[in-house]
Amino acid sequence: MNSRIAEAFALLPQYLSQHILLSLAALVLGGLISIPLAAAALHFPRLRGGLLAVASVIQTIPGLAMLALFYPVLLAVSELTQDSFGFSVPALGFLPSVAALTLYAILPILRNTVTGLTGIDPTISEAAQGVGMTRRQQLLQVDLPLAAPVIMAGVRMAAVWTIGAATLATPVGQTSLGNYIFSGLQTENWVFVLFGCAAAAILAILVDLLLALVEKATALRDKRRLFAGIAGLVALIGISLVPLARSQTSTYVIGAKNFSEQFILAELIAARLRQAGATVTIKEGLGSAVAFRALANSELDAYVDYTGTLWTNAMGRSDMPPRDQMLKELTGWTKAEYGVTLLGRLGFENAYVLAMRKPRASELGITRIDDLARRAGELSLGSDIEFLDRPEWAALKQSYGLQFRQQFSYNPTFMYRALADGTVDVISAYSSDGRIAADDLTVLADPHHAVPNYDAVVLIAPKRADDPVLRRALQPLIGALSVENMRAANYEVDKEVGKMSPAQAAAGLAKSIGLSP
Amino acid sequence: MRQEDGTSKPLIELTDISISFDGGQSLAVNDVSLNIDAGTFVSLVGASGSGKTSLLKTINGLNTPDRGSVTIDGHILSKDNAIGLRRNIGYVIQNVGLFPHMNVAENIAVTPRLLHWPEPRIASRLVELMELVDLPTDYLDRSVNMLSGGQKQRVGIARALAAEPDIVLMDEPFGALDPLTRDALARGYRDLHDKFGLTTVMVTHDMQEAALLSDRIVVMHGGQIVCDGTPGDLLNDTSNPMVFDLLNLPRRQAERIQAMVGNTGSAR
Repeated sequence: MNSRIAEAFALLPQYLSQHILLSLAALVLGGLISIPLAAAALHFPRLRGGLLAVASVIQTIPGLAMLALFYPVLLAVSELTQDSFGFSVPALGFLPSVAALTLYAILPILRNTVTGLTGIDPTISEAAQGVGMTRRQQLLQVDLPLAAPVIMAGVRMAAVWTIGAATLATPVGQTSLGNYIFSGLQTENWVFVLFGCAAAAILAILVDLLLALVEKATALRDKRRLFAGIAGLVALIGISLVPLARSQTSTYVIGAKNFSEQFILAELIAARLRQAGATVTIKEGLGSAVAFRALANSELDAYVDYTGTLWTNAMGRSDMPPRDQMLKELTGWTKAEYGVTLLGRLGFENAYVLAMRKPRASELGITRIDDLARRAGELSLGSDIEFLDRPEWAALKQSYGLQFRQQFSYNPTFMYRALADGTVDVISAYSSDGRIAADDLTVLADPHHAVPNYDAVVLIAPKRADDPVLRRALQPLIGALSVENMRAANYEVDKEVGKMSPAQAAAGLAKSIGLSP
Repeated sequence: MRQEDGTSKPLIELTDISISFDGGQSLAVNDVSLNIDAGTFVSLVGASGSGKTSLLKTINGLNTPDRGSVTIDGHILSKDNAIGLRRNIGYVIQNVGLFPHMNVAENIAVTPRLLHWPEPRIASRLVELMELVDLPTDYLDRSVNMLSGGQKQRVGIARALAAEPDIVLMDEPFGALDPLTRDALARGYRDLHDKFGLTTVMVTHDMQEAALLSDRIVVMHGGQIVCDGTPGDLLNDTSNPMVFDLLNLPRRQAERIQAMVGNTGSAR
């Protein structure tokens, strides 16, 4: 078997079980919320209209946005409970994912329950009252059983939606089948992307078939079919619990943002911790702001960030002090403000740089950003998704008066593609990216020093500040990684042919800096 | 009801009942009083919209009158006791209203189960009821969706009688059945009424059915009672032309049939 397919299969039990549990929890919660709501709304037409309208609006919020929105909400809740009751609520991972997916599951179940309950023959209602049932008895013994097939159709729809949307839980730190898709997109591992899509689709189809069986059984009042459908669902859930029961809780959680270098560095740290006998989980594909807040909240134990990112985004500064001063101020600030330890620089810088294809740059006579500014009106910029909203771009624009003809945002992999095929002329590249050398790109000089330093630094969560195992694992990495080492490792993952997995690249990186892999 | 002092008190007392729809705009029942003695079979007769069904439904509290009071066996009907009283009043409706997700036995046993009868008592009662309504006991396990119209209404009657009520209310119970089934079922029910000393109030627009089954006929028109008496009294009362026409209809139809029989009688 192809080694990448084998790798994908090896991850399947963990991803699939998390995916099923996440979807199941959201579906059960969605049902528990919407069925009683629909029953309560039955006698209040105005409440019913309002509920359905709210549920429909929720449905229009894109899944990724919904998941992202729950993160700050839960952070705020967490701060409140920390202040008032002395415990914090996890804002990353399972909780925000379940909350967002539950909201999605509500609409189809709510709508179908209302439809089912209002569609009951008035003669049956009259008979139910006539034999002396209370409202509650009528609901439980007559209305809900009669509406069951319609309600089940709603549950089915909610199940398919939830299983699909659960793949989006990866960026808020919840493992799911989406992990294949997000990491695969990032590292151009199309086997992973396809594997993730196929696995989610097969799961959705399987659950849909089983629920269809249950739906049909409720409509025909066929106990055998009902039993078969429920047994199938229980078996599926049971299978998903097996890997979960086997896995011991991991002692360390290492974060990674959504690009190759971060995956490699997280694997490198994880490998060193495992050598020290610890168990480690990697939460990958996190948004930049999400990662820092999660670390401050001790939901991550360590991750690698960059001084310029922390300086402008977390600290909100716009001045540009020299490298060492910036690091010193940052170290003091993270400790004082969040209790986060900035252990030190890894040794390389991953700055935002503007890059062009070498032939195009020399054709236009551009070597520096001020050269570029003169021609920018005829050129197109391709950037990653966050660049255009970042202060670095604002600083560049202001400092050089940059005004492009067009601007496009891409996932980083596609950004390099767009440059290669000429869709864009300039990209916001990363200085440690292996593709700069591999694609023969010209990095434009920044004579005004508009972009701050982006030294890679290791951050440690407040609760791990004095953890000797973590310190021993991380200390040898400080100052040990040159930009050439990092570029080479990044390229192993990003290249088109014969690419390595982040873990393999991390092992190679460890060897190249003289640490045992 | 025989009182201790020997005077009899009506089982059902409807006093000054008014029922309106559209928030008081139109009156379905306009200041009606009606007392019904235990053991009587009363038919409420009238055209559509005369208020007969609205009045019937006040007896088991499915309609709450705007004004007036309902007293059942000395208990004034209120929101708090309506459901309890309703479980002791059988109710049969035109479209039967059997619960499609329950089999025959489950349908019939609904009220006894609501009253927490012990299961062995329910089981023996089910067999007894099937005999009373003339259905084979092996129908108990059947789905109600597989029964014919007449069989369904037999189950409906069994369900109404299941918890041994004193009072049975019927709203056009035989209206949807073919004439032969209708006649058999109606006569069968009258026998049960007599056998168990029931008090029955039946709504019908069929004067013939009312005349053949009831002890007493109450004619309603425009939300009021226009006539009240035994079938014999009413058939001979010519004072009210509307009532006379209504009651005379079956007699005139019978005469026309009789005439046809006479014409071809020699052939038989």
